[in-house]
Amino acid sequence: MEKVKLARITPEHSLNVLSQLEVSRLARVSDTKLYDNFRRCALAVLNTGEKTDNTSEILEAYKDFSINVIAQERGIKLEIHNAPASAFVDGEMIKGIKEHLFAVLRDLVYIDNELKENRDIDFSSSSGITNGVFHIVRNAGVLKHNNETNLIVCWGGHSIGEIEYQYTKKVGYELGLRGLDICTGCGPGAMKGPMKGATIAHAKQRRAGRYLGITEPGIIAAESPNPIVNQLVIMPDIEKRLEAFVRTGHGIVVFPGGAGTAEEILYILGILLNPKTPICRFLWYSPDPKRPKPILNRSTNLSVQPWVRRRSRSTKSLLMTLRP
Amino acid sequence: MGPQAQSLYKIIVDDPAAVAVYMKEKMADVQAFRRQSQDAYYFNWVLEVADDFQRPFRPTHENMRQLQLHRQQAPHELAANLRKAFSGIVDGNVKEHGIRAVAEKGPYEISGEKDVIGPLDELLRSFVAQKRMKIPTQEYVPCYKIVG
Repeated sequence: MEKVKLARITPEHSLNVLSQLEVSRLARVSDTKLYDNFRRCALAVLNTGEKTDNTSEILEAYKDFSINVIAQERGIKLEIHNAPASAFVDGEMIKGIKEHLFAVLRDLVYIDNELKENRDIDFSSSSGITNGVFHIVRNAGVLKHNNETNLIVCWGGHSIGEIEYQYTKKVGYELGLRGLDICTGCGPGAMKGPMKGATIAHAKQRRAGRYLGITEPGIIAAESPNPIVNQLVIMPDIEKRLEAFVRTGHGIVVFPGGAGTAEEILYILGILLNPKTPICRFLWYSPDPKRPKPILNRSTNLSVQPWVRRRSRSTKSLLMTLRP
Repeated sequence: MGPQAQSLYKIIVDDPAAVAVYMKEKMADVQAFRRQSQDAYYFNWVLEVADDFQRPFRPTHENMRQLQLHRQQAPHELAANLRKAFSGIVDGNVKEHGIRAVAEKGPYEISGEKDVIGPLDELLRSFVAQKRMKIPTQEYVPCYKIVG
């Protein structure tokens, strides 16, 4: 296994504007659990493209890997020992991977501080969790583009066959040609294919595409972010990762997958089936917004309230696509 | 999950362009809805996410064994519990915590009503047969066991 003994890197875009206090806070990653998490996620980001998903094996192979945050007058620097050589080209770290490293730092360390100090974020209540999800994605710069609804979440397996993988690329390509952006769990397989396809399509349409990757510390080592991802967000756990998907995306496409994909399908179905979002069980969108068309109306006394009518359309964009 | 759940999605087979056309078409509806409900374009605040989908599920051997997998509950509750079962399997397959826990104490045991765990077992077997559980660098050893 080839490694790069020592590398020092500074951020290109993210974290450019930090106060002295923030810099010193970031540099003092004294909390061992937090450091452990940070180290593991950083390694995952650097180890992109590896053909294994066994987190324990990866950690074992890079026992001597370490990463330290160094505070400078002007900002922050990362000092990395024994990083996977595949992350470098002629001694320089690939820019996308570098960006991801600083995204890890931002989400784990900065957010850890923020969560401790910001009272709006309270992970013990439902609205507090939603607020937390919002704060994390906003801090990652994901919400800057608020004038379009064009973000397609693509779910699917990390371990899929070649024919399926090619299919996910084709779908991504067709989505990209139509000006749609892609959001995935940012790992290999069905999480990478749509982004690759969309990249080519966006280039043809001269469009600066968004490739949003949403992951979490537990899975990131098994699903290393692919460097196409130009916005990486690391949520604290799988539940918040799933919530980030459904609140930031505007539609969902599901590809073949395994247990994780089944989890995702059940998550969205569970939300749609909840009587608190009652109307999606009875109504489907019809082209005329004033006249919703009942498709499953087995309840004869169902009265369609105006707010209910509105709600019916918020959750309708679940789409599954399968290969024969 | 039943016909109710089946009415909530659309399946498009082997037609990438049709998928994209459909999604593109629906984006206008999403936008119209967001405007009407005065929701943000960039964050869907209106969507209700039940507590059970928000609270972190810790996949321990005990929590996995105690999952309520039966039909005497509302479909969305069954979905929530099945979601946890799959989440635990992902944990045991690829996450450090799960890999270690399963190595120490053996596979996670999953039990429940036959109607539910029968099809679940079948689905999981198909995942294994089709090498969807893990990247097939070695023979897959299940991190779970379906018990009656």
